Amino acid sequence: MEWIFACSPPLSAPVQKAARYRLHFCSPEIIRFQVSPDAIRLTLSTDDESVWHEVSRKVERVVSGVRDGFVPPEERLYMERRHPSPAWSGAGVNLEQAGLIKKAGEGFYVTGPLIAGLVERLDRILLDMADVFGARAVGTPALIAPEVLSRVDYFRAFPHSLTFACHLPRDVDEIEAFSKQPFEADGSLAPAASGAGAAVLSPAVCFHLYHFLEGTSLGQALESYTVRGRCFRYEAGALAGLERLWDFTMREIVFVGEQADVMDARKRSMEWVTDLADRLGLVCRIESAADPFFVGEFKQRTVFQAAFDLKYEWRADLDPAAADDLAVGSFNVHQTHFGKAFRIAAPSGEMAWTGCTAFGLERLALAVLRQHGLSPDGWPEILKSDLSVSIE
Amino acid sequence: MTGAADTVKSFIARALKIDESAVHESLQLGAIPQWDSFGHINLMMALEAEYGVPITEQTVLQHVSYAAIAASLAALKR
Repeated sequence: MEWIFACSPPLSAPVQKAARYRLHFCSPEIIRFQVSPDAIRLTLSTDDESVWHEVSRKVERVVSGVRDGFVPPEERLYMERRHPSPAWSGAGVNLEQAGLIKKAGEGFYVTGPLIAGLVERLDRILLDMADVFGARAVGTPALIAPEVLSRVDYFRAFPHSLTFACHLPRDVDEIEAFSKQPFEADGSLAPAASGAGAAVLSPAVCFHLYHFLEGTSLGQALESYTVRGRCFRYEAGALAGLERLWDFTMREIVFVGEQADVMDARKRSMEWVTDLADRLGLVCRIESAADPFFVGEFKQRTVFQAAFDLKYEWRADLDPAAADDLAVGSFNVHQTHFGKAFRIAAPSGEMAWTGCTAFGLERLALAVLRQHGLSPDGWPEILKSDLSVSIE
Repeated sequence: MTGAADTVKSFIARALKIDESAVHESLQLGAIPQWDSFGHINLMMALEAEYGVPITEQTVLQHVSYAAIAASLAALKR
């Protein structure tokens, strides 16, 4: 049954966008929703009016959290590229039907050799950027301790996207019972396996690095590191193909040091990526952005990020009409947030500033496929050059 | 100490959850651990809740020091 939640005053376009993403996390009773300026149309799992009242309260919470007094941050465009080269032959192609990826679960996919090879090629190119900064490689686990995430304030800012690792209780009866009947009648895992454990699947790879540097004093005004790892961000109903994965691969170049040096490193990384965008022939832009904070402090954090120019995204178009685009990378400065959380001192004795330039490898590969097609013959020279990973 | 200065001190101390004795006229964003980015968010939220100053990019950038907050509160009282 469809219910209508009236919005008065009407929602501006940026608030509609912010609400649309967060409504995916609003209530399990919501099957579908449609957001317009004046109303949110909701299809619920039940006709029960008491359920509707409860859902309505939650929708009000989400809408007011993103709307009240919210002034959308001013968009700052750093660069825009409208290359004529894309053939767009991959636009609109269903990658799963084309046999290039296989859905392994809700929000996670196996990528076949073509896309896996492209991901490796792109990553090797990004390692050239890491070399420019003299970045040293660091290895990080997929799991992260809840205590570390708490110290970086992740639980307050992004609770909706957490993915908990869990295990069975250390109890022979429960372990044997589970092994005999791991699934419930409805196909879900037996409850014994559903509790949150002592670890979280890491939503970013750089947190591990700041933890690694805990209590240290930097020897140089700028230290650079590079990390590649799996990241996990639960996106509920917003999960969609390679565009929005629950489990994805991130390459980061991380800067730690004095304020001016970290700011300069981010600027140089944006210049490097601008040149890369030209070599890849991508229709794209770098513009200011905000992280998808949850409703609690959405307004304050979004405005804070914009005011202090803390985040930019590299966004690539996915279709020739520019109706759909995708963030394939980001350029972030965290001020002393992590330096303070992990007591990292800059050579001046001040708390270290940090920044990171991060790339979603599957998303970057998807942008190449959409714009240049599924055949490597149509890809830019930089992707055909002498790299050892076979794409066959 | 004047009453106005007392109000500013008390407001900043409350918002940053620090002792009033730690608040002085040259205090600014980044000068003490409590006035970091998240302390600043709390300060802006308190400014909006207690004095109706809206949180915008301009007001976030404007209120980065004791002096700036004192000037705003004085202007509100006029």
